[in-house]
Amino acid sequence: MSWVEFKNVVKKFSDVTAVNNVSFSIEKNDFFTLLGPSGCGKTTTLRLIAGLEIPDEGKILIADQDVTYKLPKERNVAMVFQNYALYPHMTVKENISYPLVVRKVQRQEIEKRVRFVADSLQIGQLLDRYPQQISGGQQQRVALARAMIQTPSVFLLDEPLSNLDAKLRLEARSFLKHLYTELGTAVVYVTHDQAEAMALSTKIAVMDNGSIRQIGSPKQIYDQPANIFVASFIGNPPMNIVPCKISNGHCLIGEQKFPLQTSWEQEYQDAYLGIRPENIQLDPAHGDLHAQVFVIEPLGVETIITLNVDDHQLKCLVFEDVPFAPGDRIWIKFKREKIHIFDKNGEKVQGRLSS
Amino acid sequence: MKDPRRLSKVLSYIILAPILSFFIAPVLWLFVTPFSSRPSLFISFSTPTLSNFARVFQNKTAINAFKNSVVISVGVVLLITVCALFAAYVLSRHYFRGRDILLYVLVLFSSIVTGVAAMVPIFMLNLKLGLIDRELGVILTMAGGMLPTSIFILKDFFDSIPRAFEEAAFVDGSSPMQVMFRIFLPLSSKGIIVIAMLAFAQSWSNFLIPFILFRSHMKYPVSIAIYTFFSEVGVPDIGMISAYALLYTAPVIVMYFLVERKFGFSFYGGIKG
Amino acid sequence: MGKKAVVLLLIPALTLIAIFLIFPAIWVLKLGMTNETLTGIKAREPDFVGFQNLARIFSDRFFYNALKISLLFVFGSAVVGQAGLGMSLALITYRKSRRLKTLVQSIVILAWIIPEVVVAYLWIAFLDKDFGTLNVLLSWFGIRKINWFYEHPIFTIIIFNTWRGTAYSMLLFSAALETIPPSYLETADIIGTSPYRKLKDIILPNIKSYIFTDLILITLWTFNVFTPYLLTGGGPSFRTELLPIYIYRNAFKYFKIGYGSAISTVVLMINLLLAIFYITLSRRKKA
Repeated sequence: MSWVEFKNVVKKFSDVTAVNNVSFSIEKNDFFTLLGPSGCGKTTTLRLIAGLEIPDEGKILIADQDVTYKLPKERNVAMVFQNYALYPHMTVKENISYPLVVRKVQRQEIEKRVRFVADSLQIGQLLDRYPQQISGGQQQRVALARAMIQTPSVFLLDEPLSNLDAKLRLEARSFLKHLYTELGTAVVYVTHDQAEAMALSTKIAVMDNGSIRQIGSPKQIYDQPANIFVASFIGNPPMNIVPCKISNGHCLIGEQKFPLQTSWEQEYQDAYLGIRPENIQLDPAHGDLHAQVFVIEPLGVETIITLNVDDHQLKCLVFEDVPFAPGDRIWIKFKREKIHIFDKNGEKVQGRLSS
Repeated sequence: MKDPRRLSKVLSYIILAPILSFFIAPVLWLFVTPFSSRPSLFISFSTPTLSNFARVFQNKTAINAFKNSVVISVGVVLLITVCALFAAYVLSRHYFRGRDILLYVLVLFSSIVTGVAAMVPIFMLNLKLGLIDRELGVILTMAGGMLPTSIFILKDFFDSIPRAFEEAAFVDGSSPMQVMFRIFLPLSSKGIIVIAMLAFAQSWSNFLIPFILFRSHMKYPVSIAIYTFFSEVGVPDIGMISAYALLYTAPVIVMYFLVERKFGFSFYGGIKG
Repeated sequence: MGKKAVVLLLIPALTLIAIFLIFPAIWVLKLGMTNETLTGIKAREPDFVGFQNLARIFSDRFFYNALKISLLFVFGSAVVGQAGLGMSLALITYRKSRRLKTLVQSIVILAWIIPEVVVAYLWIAFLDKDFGTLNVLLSWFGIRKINWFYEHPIFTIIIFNTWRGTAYSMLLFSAALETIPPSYLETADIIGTSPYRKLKDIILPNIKSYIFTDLILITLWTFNVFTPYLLTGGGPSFRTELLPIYIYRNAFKYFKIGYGSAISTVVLMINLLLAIFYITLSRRKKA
């Protein structure tokens, strides 16, 4: 049985449908990420799990119990908000212990548990400070501590890294991943940052416009995107999407064409070719398509090269030295097994091996 | 209901209903009685009529008081708007020694010297200046009392306008006058409208200042006229008074909600006092 | 901007304020030390009497009567009435739909913005012994007609002024509540905090400074309210004679300008204390 389950959940705010018929299930050991651009309904989905919003349709189950209309406190969840929501008039210690104080847990027990979570989050020395007196990264840990002390069935994290600066964010990300192995229960995580989602999750749900566009492991999402939206949302730089025609087992881009690996019986007048930047190889002499180097951006480890192919632009990621200069006419070659073809609606289509 | 939240919603309506009734009940009369063909002190709905308003327009005292009120309020609005505009502009855009102390003194005096606390010296001052029973005295007294608040509101507003707008205009070669009229005034029109409306509403509603400074009936503004209508001996014409009161109140209500709708509710601590 | 322009632009406002706001406040100190009257010989040649007026005030039983009534009025209508009801309304409409909030606020604000003379007449009509709406409604439930202004004068003006001024506190508290990030209370919701603890642990500590501001301001304003005069004229037999009405009676009914000024001085001093308290507090808040 799954740990958290959404069944055809719909949530409307006056005439805007924030969550549109969403279903998914999360296992107890999942780090489940809701990923999508702002306004896609990911935070609303999280708030539906927390009970801060009540769905208009559908069912929500946590640990096999129907909690659809339950109050937040009856769901045994803990949530870390984007702004951490640490109470400014309470010390770190008072903040962390507040959930237990409210539940009238015994003093000694509170003392013991505060010690324990503070130690495992390495904030023991901050207990007497006020939230305004500690750094953003420390505030985040205090917020996590306040969630952990509740020993919830599900941890809900709403963009907890977005208030940190870039350097701290990477550090906090690693820490979070480490912490997850100690929590021993499901985490639901909301972010708009695909790198965060890839780095942390066991399962990602990519959302757009209130609907889930794909659910899968980070590897599935990256390697087998179900549609153009997912393909272009994941990866940095994102996947190249180029309009093309599929005919006679060949792919036509502008005036040029090249053969696909599997034989395609289907013909598509309006299709799209998708290829990740790292799956394009450059060659001075031969390849699939003719291209011209437009811009070269060396980033240290890798180099991003922007190419013009007829009227289209492709980005290509190279890890070796680049022997070209802008203006050079070269050949490019696609890794055959990494080519994705999407139909005119943006949904992925498969080629079939003809017998 | 499945949703336990409904209960708290229903509960809050149950608490709200009597409180709102308490607030509506006395005002309801003002909107019902002027149109009643059998006006009384009780809120009674009857066939609607405009005859009460007709009697207002036949009443010379009433019409005259309306004119007086308009004169006083227009005077106060003009005086306040111009003076506050100048002063607030300087205080916002120009730093000079003692500016903060000046502001402090202004806040202090405007909050403690209310018309009520200072009614005796205000009366004596007007007496010595020969301004008793003259519109000018009432206008100057009201404007003086309300000016500090208007200046603060406007200064606050000016402070929120980035200097870059004016600086850019200066760099482009505009004269100070051009900057003032082409750049600064259009940008601050919102704040100016707010203080003008505030000045209107307060001078229009003020009772005490004209009450102590006017003597002859022909000078009375509406506030005093209404007071004499209902406090004088004899049988008051309830229908006429209510219609008159509604005509007198309407501009204030309209103005308030207009400002609120147009600019959102801007919360000014000095709105009353 | 040249120095000349600065002075020129400041002069109109400052002159007006100096003459009609600051001068009266200072002059009243001197007037209060004379036995000036509005008519008769002392109108022309008042004598300097020093602190005699002040001494008389503090042995005048009417002054203590007015002071007592003013304190009751401020405590009952401002601290308990306006702040209490304003807070209740702000809390009830907090985290509720915008439409409900607008409706409630519009109704309460109406009582606040209607000119005072109209408000006074509305309440005279509302509370009229024989035909007033309240008594007629009560009589439907078999309750006898009550002459509110005679039987419960202080209670009546307290209720009236609560009705009149609750809007300010409600708006201030509503605005204060909006400054609390929603996540503070949502965290409490998830933890399972009771409504009472939410108020005590989270809401009140976060809006404390607004509450102080509100209490000082409405105390100052209520202390300086003249409207009850339009309702009761200070009667019956001085039972609603607030300090402002006491000033009015002495200065404009008995024409005792010197004595009235001395009472004004006392009221101004009380105002001054409240204002300094307020300004110090709001400065500390900014710092």
